[in-house]
Amino acid sequence: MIHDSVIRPQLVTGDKTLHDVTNEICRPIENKPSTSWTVGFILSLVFLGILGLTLGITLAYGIGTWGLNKTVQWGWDITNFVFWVGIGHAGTLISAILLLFRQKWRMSINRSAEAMTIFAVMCAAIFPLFHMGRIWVGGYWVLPLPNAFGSLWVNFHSPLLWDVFAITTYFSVSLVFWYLGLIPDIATVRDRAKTEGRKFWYNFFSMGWTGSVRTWNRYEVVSLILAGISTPLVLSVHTIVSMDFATSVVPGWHTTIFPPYFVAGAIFSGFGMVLTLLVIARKVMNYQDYITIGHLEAMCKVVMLTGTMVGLAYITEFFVAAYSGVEYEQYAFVNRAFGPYAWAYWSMMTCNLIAPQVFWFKWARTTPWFIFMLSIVVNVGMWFERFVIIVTSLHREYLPSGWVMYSPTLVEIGIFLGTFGLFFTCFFLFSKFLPVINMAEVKGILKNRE
Amino acid sequence: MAKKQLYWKGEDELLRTKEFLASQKNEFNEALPLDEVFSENNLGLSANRRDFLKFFGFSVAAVSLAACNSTPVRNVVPYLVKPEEITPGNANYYNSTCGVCSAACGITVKTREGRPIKVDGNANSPISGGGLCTTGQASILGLYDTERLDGPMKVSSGSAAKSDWKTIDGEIVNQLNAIQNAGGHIAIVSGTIHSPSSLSVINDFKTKFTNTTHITYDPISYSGILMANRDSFGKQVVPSYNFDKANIVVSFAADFLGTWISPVEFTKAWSARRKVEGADSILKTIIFESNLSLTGTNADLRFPMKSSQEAVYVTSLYNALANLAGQPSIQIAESGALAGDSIKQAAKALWNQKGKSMVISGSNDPKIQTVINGINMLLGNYGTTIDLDNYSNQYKGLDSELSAFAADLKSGKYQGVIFWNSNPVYSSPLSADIQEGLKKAKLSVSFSGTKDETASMCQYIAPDNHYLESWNDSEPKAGLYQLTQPTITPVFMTRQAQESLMSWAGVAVAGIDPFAKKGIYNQNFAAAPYYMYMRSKWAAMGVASDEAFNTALHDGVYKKAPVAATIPAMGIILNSIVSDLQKTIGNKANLDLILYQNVAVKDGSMSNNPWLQETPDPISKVTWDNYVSLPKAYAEKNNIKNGDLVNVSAGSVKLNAMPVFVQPGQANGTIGIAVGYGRDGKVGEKGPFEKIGKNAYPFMKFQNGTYNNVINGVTISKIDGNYELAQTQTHHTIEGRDIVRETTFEKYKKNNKAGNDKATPHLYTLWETKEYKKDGAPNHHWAMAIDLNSCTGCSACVVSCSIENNVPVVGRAEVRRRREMHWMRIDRYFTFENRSNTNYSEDLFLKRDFEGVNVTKETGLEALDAIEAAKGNSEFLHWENVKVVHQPMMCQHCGQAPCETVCPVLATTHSTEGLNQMTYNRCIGTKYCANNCPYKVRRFNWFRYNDNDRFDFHFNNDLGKMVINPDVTVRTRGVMEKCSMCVQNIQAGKTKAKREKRKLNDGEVKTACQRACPAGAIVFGDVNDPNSEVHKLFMNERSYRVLEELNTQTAVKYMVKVRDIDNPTA
Amino acid sequence: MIDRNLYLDKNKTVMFGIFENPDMFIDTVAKVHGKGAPIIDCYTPYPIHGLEKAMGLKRSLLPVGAFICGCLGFITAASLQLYIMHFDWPMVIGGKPTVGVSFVPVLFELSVLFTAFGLAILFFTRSKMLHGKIPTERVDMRQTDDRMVIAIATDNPSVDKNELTNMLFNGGAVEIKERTNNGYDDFTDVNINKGNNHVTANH
Repeated sequence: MIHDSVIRPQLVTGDKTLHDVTNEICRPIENKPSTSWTVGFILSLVFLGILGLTLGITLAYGIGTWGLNKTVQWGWDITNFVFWVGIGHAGTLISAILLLFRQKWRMSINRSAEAMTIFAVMCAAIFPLFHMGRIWVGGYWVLPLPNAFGSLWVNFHSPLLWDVFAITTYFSVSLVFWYLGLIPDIATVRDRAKTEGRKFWYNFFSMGWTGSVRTWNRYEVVSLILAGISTPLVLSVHTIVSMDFATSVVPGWHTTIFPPYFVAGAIFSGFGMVLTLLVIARKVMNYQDYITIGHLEAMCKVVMLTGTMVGLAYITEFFVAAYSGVEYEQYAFVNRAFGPYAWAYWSMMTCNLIAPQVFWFKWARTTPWFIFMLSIVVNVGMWFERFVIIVTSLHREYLPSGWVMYSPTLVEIGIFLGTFGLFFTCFFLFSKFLPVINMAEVKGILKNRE
Repeated sequence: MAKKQLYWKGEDELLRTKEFLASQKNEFNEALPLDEVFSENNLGLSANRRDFLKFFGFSVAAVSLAACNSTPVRNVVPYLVKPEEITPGNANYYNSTCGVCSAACGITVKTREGRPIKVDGNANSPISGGGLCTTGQASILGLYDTERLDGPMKVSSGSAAKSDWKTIDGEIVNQLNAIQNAGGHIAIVSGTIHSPSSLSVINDFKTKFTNTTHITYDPISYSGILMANRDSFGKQVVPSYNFDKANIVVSFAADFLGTWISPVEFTKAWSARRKVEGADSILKTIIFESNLSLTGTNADLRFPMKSSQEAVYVTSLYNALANLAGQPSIQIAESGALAGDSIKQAAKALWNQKGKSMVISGSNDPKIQTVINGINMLLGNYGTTIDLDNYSNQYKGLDSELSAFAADLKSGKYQGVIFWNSNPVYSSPLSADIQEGLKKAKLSVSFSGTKDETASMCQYIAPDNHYLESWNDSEPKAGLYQLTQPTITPVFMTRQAQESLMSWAGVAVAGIDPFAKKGIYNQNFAAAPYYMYMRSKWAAMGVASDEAFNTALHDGVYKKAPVAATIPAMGIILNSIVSDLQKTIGNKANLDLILYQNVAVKDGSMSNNPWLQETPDPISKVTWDNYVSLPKAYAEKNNIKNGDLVNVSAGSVKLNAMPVFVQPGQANGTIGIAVGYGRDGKVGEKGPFEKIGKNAYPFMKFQNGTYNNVINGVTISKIDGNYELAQTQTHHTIEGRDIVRETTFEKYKKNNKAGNDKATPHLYTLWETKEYKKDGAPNHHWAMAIDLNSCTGCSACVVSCSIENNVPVVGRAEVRRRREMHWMRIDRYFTFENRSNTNYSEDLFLKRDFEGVNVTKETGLEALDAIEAAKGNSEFLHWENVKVVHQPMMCQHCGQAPCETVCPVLATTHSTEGLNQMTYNRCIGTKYCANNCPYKVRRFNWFRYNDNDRFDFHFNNDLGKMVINPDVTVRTRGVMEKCSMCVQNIQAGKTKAKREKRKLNDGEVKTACQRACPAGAIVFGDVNDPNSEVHKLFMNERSYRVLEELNTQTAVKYMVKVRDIDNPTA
Repeated sequence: MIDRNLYLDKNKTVMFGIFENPDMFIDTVAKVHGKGAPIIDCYTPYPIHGLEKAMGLKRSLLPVGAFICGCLGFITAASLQLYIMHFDWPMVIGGKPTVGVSFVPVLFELSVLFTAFGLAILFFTRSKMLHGKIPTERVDMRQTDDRMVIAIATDNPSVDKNELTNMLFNGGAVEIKERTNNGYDDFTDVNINKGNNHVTANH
């Protein structure tokens, strides 16, 4: 039985019957695509084209087509990688952690959040792959396979290898989690399907789901366990990503604060992106009843909290540098804040630390258009965070003789924009062919109508 | 006796007699000649025999190669007749002489499968002393230059057409005879020639064509010194400067470590006298100059000097010394006024070292040089530090000869002209006259190997061999003879210039020519007749027997006992030249232009060499361009910034749109422009025939009978537009970091750890440090020690490294993107000396502690500039007075390498001998290692640099590729690369030692940079061997590690730099 | 508890109660179970908490399986790293020892990976789920939409069909169907008027 507290507002408004839920959520799948959908989809396809083109150029000529140089050998590529991985954190986090905490408000957003996770990780994966000088061999040499002579394996001391394991694990587990959640809803769509094609495909993916209580029973157990292991997984992934930097000797990278700081940042950016998407989605697909202001507000609170956490981390870094007494460390941070890339640093500060503070005001938390604007600001800010960490640390390191400046080329910019193309293409397809809201779960939290 | 048999054996070999064929069966019955080439000891009979066989067998190699094709050998072609001493996979070494400049360094050429791939200094030669300059290193590519002509050319009605030797020989001889019969004059215009045989060839030519004049012309001439010595002592020679005998040298803009006369020789001697271990004095170096030269960066004391006032400086020095010596002084306007106390103090310092001092001037003005002679006379340096008896032949060109020639050519006096190893149309300010005159000439021939500016104006081009294809001898110094031997058959249908002259003059070759007789040589292999000619000359010299000659050939050097140096008498009253001297003094208010030679490109004769172009200037770190080097004060006043474009004009001569580089150390009121640029060359960003830089030769000013590189009264006008110079280093201060350590000589004498006594950081590690052991016993642990005190920053190591390790050239655009591939670089840091508030010349001498006033941080510098500006002080003295340190930087081969840990695929790991190895074919190019390298020495292959038209350098054509070192992989696109400490040489050395069942000797294996270094600043060896040189240096109190606190435990240690600035007058 | 094969066995008769109200459904299921009638299974569009208790389902053993998979992953990771870094080809990498804390991340990741995939596979096999499988136990197309179905084996002599029917009736079933033993998909409606929510008992 469901026992909703009296104080807590309804999670789904507008007295839906179970059937209403099914109808409304299946509507976009069963109806013709709306114009807004078509326009958006075509636009994303265009950007996807840009991705193909720019990656093609990179493959044809070499990494030299990017703006990197002898000193700054990671630039936009790894910046974007961390950016996307960060975004990829909200999904699993929402479904896993909130499930563990029995936060029922997650239910109408976790599906799309998980989808976002998967697509974001796909985008992220592009960068570590293509930043390799020789992707054609690197693609599989990073797997634990012996080389031609059996003598050379992989190096388990290398954070990059940890990345390989972390990202692949995270991606595949998220995928399983997401797909398991989809099965009952696919079955629902299957049973409503009119055309043969739909019948076949939805049947194919529904795996003969009937809604047997026995299965439901196991299903609950499985999702609980998956949630249980996904939670540390989410945290581990960005921890390991942060170790790419933390375990190096580069001043500005070599700090123990990175793991928690990166995780907080990831949640921050993840929720930022979720907000961006949901504010649009609820409008376009008019899901206002399912994704209520309440949902948005809850997420705004998380954004504000995590934003403040990363802000704290930024300040702590400075303290640590000053306290360490290491001149290189100290210079690295002075250079961050007042060096040639100061503009990046301050835009990061503004977007990530200062901007989210407006969420102290209820109006800010409950006004969709404003939330949307701010979620964009958050995304921008988090991108700058990664840029600042990577580029400003590298461009002025130990030996002044090697100090340089770095600026991206059109190819790099194209790849970055292109990944948005990929992301939204996937997302539009998802919203067209799969229920973006977890019907089964939502049905569970409808108020009794007796 | 033995040798006679051998001679005939060679004959048989040529004749393919049965005996020879039989002998083929057991040609492996003796060890490889390679083993002996470097073991200088006991040159017994056997060694001679082998050496004879070496050059003999080479000729057979030549046959077989020539038999394949006259164009470069592309495919692996099996030897038709296997030359006795060539074993595939083993290198052969031949001693020879560098033919780039007339300094004539002795070299050792490394050949693989009959193909020269590396040139290094020959330790036997007193000129090179085992080192070699950037230009010499890079000269090997001149052999594989696609621009070389592949045969004689005939220019008819403006268009050059390929011809053959028979035709042009015929036509040229007819013309010569015609001119001769008509009583016309013939001129042979050549660079300095000090080869006795070549000179005698010219004489033979003169005897045939009686109206022939031989004009010697050097683009960078030393006529001033020649004329001064003629006037002063009646000896028109450049003396020998014995830096090793001096305790103090005062130089007026003579860049003797970089480009002056014989830089390799001088660097060797200078650095030897700078060794501080156990020394109670080191060679104090004081320099007065306008441009910041390499010598200026290494001098203990450097005074900015407005070069147009040099006469004032030298006369005031003379007068200061004359006072001390009680001699009459020179009466010259404002003498002493300008130079101030620095001169007085310098004079004191010199006087204290009478007879052990040296004063030199880079000026080409005979009068100034005469005063310099006077100074050295006062100091009694002749016969000790300056030797006129064992004089130098390295430069003999008189500018007056050239100007006379140009006039006569224009007037049509010379109807025939032959250019040999000279390119006046490019490098002479009289280019216009010569071009005009050439049109009138009935016959004009150039021996140039490429279609250079002069050659393309001539009627015939009779391309000379590259020096690596030639026989020759040379006499760089009186009594010092060096031999040049071919190390490969002529790659093209070229013919040695001497041979051409001989055939035109119909010189009969004495003695038998075994090669020619057998008709093995087609016309394009021309060495033999001149070889025989040379032998006859050497026989006359007393080196008749094959044995003696081969010994000389093996050593590359043949010395006669030096003459006892005498003290000459000064045959000129200095006050008689005052008026001429006065002429040289320019208007102080005007801007001076000082033309200088870049250390790499030098006079420009090899400016199409990609290695040289990509070698950064040691001071400005600019590649691929020349530029206007501007003092800060001027830039501030006229609001000119780096990369702005200016027009430079001096009278009628103009140079438009020159990029500007604001050079710290550039004396106020002067600007500098490098010569040697602006040539037609294939090498360049935009492909064929894009000019690199601009030609500054036309600025050269004729004065007092010489061409002077100091031009007073140039004007600069800023124009619109901007030009980004390709620099390899753009941050110039060391930011006060403990990367380069230095001290002063006095401090060092008191405490050998001076400057190096910083508390060593606590080096914590989580696990015990790796020791390099092989089954208990200590294994090799390769390490390197670099003495910052010896290193002059000349960059020879950079080029040498690039050649040895097939480091690609990436071109201007990529260097701009900061992607040069050099494995070895030389970091250069400026220290700005803040004495805006004091009379700098005063405190330079009286100040005991420099640290107090040094500005090493960019921020500090900006602050200083602000103070200056606020004071309205436009002098910016702190920019004018900079201290400079050079720090060679390459992979430090860390024992606990940050790069190794982060590679996901184990592409970079540690060897059991302490080397940080790079496995190219495993690398996937994540570039993490480079990010994690604190020394930033890892280089990434951003593109494919070979067979790629976007990088159209020597890696992009089959000919250029012949220079590739077969022992080193050519890296593919997308992999990381870095210094390997020449692991190929280490392995070769170990294999050799193993084959000979002995331990590897210390110093047996040398890295490319070590071999190149004329200063001997780099020592490589096994630090686990307690007796090794490098071990001793590691124990030395001066040695330290860069960034030691990171506990990377580098295998490279640096030695503290020591400056002798404490008591300037000592 | 009678297992689902009864459902699939053509020769057994099965009675279905189809509900629309979750709460009433649970109560009815509890009653039926209390009566000891053999419930084969229930089918609901969403997980109704408490239903499994009402049916008297046992706790699933999947967690044990998951744990075993996890251990398997841990062991794989450990042995893989040890073999590669220490036994097969030890190398000097930045002067570090061949075995160290740097193994932890991969240990963790592989454990998680194995757990997740093992669990998923176990779940699918246990629930006999397969891609493209035609769903068999589908009485009402809306059982994945808004209807709840209870399936009771009726060919057991101990079960009184009428009582059962009434029980479902009064429990609020909107439809009651029975499958007689002549055919797999042959359902015959029990005497109620179809589609009528307000059931009136007619004895």
